[in-house]
Amino acid sequence: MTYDKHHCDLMCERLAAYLEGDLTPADQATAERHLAECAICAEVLAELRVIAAEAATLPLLAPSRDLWSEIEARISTPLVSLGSAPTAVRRAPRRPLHFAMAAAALIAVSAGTTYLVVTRPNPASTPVVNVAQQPAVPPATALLVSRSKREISAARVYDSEIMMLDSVVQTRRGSLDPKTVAIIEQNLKIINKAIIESRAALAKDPRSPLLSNQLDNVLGSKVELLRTIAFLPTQS
Amino acid sequence: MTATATEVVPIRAPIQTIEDSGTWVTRAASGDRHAFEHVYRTHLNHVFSLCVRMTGDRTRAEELTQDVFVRAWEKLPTFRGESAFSTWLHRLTINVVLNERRVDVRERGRTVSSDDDEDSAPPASSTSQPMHAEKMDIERAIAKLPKGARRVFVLHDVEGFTHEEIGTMLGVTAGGCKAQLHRARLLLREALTR
Repeated sequence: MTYDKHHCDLMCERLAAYLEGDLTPADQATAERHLAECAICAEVLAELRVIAAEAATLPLLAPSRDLWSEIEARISTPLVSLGSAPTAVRRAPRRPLHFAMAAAALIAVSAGTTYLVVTRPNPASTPVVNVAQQPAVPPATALLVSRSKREISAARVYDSEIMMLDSVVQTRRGSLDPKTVAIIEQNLKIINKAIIESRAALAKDPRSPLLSNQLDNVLGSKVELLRTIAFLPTQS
Repeated sequence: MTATATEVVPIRAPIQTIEDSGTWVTRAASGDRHAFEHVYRTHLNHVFSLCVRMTGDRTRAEELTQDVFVRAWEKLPTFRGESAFSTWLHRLTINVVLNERRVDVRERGRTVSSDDDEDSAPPASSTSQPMHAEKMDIERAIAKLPKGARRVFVLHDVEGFTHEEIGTMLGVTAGGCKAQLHRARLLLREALTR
C-alpha cells in the first residue's frame, strides 16, 4: 500500500466521474493504477459501490396504519364541477365594480356613523323631543339598500359621502391646529387633482377597469382622509 | 393421499404480480371503488416506500401516500395503458412528492432553488455531529441526508432513474445531479461506517 496525498486528492476529486464512467480513457487508466496501489482509495470506492448496491435492493416499507379509510373518505366526497357555476364565470369581469360598490357601501356606513358621532348635539342644550313625533329618518343601511336598488354607481356614492364628510370637516376647521389644517389642505389638493385627472382619463376610456379602479382608489383615499380629520382632536 | 379435515392444506393460489392487476385497474378507472381498493392494497407499499425515502419522514409519507391514491383515483380515467400501471403510479408519486416540495417552499416564502433547496441538514464536511452512536442502518442514514442529495440518491440508486430523467424531474442539470449523488453517497458512507 502506498499513500500519495496528491494522487489520493486527485482520486477523491475524480471518484464521482470514475463511478459514473465519465473519465477520459487516460484519466480512467490513471485512476485504476492508483486504485491498484492505494488501499485507502480502493476501500472508499468499494464502500460507495456497496452503498449503491444496497440501495438498489432495499425492501419495501409499510405504513404504520391502514390508510384506506381516509383515502376512501376523500374519494367519496363529491366534486363540484366548475362548469355548474357559469354565472360566476360570466360575472368575473365585472368583479372590480362589485368590489367598488361594496367598498362604497362600507364607506357610506362608516361615514354616516362618523357624521352622527361628530355632529351629535349636546344633550344638555337640546330640548327633549318626542321621538314618535320626528319624521322617520332612514338608517344608513336602509339608505344603502334603496340606493343599491337604484343601481347608483360607486362613484356617486363616494361623492355623496365625501360631501357629507366635507361638511363635517368644514365645521371643525376652526377648532384644529393651523399647521394641521395646512397639511390637510395640501393633501386634499393633491387628492382632488388626482380625482380630476382620473375622471378625465375615465371619460376618454369609460370601459377601462384599470381607470375605474384608480378613480375608486383616489375617492377612497379622500374619504379616508376626511374621516381622519373628522376625528382629529380639537386644538387645546 | 387425501387430506383430512384437520390437516392444513396449503393454499396454492397463484401469486399475483403487480402487472396482473390490469383488470382491477380497468375496473377502478371506470369508477369501481372496490377495485380501486384492490389497486391500493397492491401498490401501497411501493408508493409509501418511495414517499418515505424521498421525504425522510414517515408521518409526512403517510399523508403523501393518501394524496397519491386520491390523485390516482381522479386521474385513472386518463390512464391509457401506454406504460405499465406501476410505472404510471410511480411517476405520479414522484410528482406528488416534488409538487409538495414546491408548495412547501412557497409557503416558507422561499424560491425553489434549481439545484438544492438546502435545508437544515449538515454539509458533507460537518457530519461529525452524532447521527447515531452506533452504525446506522441505511434507511435511517438516507432519511438524515440533506433534502436535495436524498432525492437524487433515492431516485438514482434506489429507483433506478437516469441522471437525465432526474434532472428533468428536479429541474437540475445532469451534472448537478451527479454531484448531488456523489455527495449523498459520501455522506452515507460516513454515517454508515461511523
